[in-house]
Amino acid sequence: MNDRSVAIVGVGYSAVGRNLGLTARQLTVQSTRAALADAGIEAGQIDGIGVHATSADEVIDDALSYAWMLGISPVSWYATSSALTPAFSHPAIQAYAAIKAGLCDTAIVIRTMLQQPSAGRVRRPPAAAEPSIESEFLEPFGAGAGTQWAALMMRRYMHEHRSTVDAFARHAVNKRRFATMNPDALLREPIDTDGYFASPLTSDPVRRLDCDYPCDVSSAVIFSTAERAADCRARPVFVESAALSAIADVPFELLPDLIETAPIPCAADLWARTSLTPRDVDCAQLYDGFSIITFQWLEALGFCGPGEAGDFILDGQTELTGSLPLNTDGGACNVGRRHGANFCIEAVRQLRGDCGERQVDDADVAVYANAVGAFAGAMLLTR
Amino acid sequence: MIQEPDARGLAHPSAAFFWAGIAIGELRVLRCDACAQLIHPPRPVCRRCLGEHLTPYATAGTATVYSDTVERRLVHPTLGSPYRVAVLQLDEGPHMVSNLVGFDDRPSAIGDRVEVEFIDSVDGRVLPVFRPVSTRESR
Repeated sequence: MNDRSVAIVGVGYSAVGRNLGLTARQLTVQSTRAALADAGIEAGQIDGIGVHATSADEVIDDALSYAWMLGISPVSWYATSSALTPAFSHPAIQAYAAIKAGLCDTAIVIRTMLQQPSAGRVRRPPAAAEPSIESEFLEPFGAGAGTQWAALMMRRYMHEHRSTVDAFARHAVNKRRFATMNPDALLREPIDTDGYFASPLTSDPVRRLDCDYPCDVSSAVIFSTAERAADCRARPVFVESAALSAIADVPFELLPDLIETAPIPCAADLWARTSLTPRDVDCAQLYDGFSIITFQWLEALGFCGPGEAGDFILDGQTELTGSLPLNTDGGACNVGRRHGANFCIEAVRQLRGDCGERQVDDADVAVYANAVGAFAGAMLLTR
Repeated sequence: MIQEPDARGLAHPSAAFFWAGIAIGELRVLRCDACAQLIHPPRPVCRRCLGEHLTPYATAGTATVYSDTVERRLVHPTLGSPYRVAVLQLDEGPHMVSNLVGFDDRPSAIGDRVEVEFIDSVDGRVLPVFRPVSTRESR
């Protein structure tokens, strides 16, 4: 362990739910308080802040205005991540790098989301005043919805690998089973495969249960040096390696390949920066904004071969009793759309041994991954 | 002349060539004058050689379905619901997003040969959609 090893010392959520009636700032204060209490530190001990904020959320804000609101001053490092980044993982990995480089010692990373699109009080962003790729080459064809690029990926995946929807059904059932063991999950009623197939098709073959569940939530994670972590209340979880990868600046529908996307170079970098291997990983927390994303990560990270994610899941390997318990908080389709922050936090809680009924035995190493397509981020965590 | 690229790499006048082509029955992409790279969606420069002189190029309008989805939740302004969104690989190489028409209700048309057909959309513009090659030939 070198002098600038980085640890996660605090995690926290705001209230979570549908149409809570709280503003983004109120939610952010709640998650920050929770993470500070978890770490056992004061806001004044934080000297770095990273946030992911997109105009689509109507949470148009930046890291400095969050810092000012939260009483964090002076700030030695701050960064705001835009929509063209792998969500929560982008500021998280930048915070890790900033601490490692000595730019700051203790950084908080925040992702605050307001429920989209059904919340009436959430305004849509103004229509683009000027032509864009989306307005000229997607929208005239009724294209551009997230469920559509997921469906185009899933359909191409099933075609190339001769796989069926059965593994997607099993995956949804498994995640709901984990959610029944997570008091924080929003959807906790057990389902079976019939329940999956009763879920409405949105963009065929994507069903509603393949999608994350929109909600109001803020998530916060505090990173610090290993040295300072020793003084924090919570058991530290160490960042073993981290990787970001971006391959293109196009709508996902127009990526040159819908199967070999950003998780592949990202995972290669992640493993190149550690002596650990996929066999060392005790649980995986892999983004599931749409189910096909998790399938891509399972293969990219080398837990199974290309096209084998379905069989891996159908073989029971991703359940609590399997070799790689997967998305053990229940995933974003059950805990709500937290843009990847939930997977980082669940990895931390598993490595602390705080997960109760859904705890993975002897969890020493966890991987957390975020996003797909044009950009991806991943982190390997140890206790 | 150097065009000012916007944040998404789409110079504003550069979509006009596409719709101007559609109006006269041509499905156009951009072609780099310097290295002949075909480019879609349009960009202000060629990513391969950084050439700034790009010229509209009429494709044959034939393609293979790379992937597709039957959209069941949203309503297409012209095609109604459900409708099929596809990524086409044009025979010249670039991928393009459009709609498939004239297909039965099987889940996927991946690998099928298709060709462009110009239809009138409800918003008054002509829309390039794709239909099975064999359908056109047998008519």
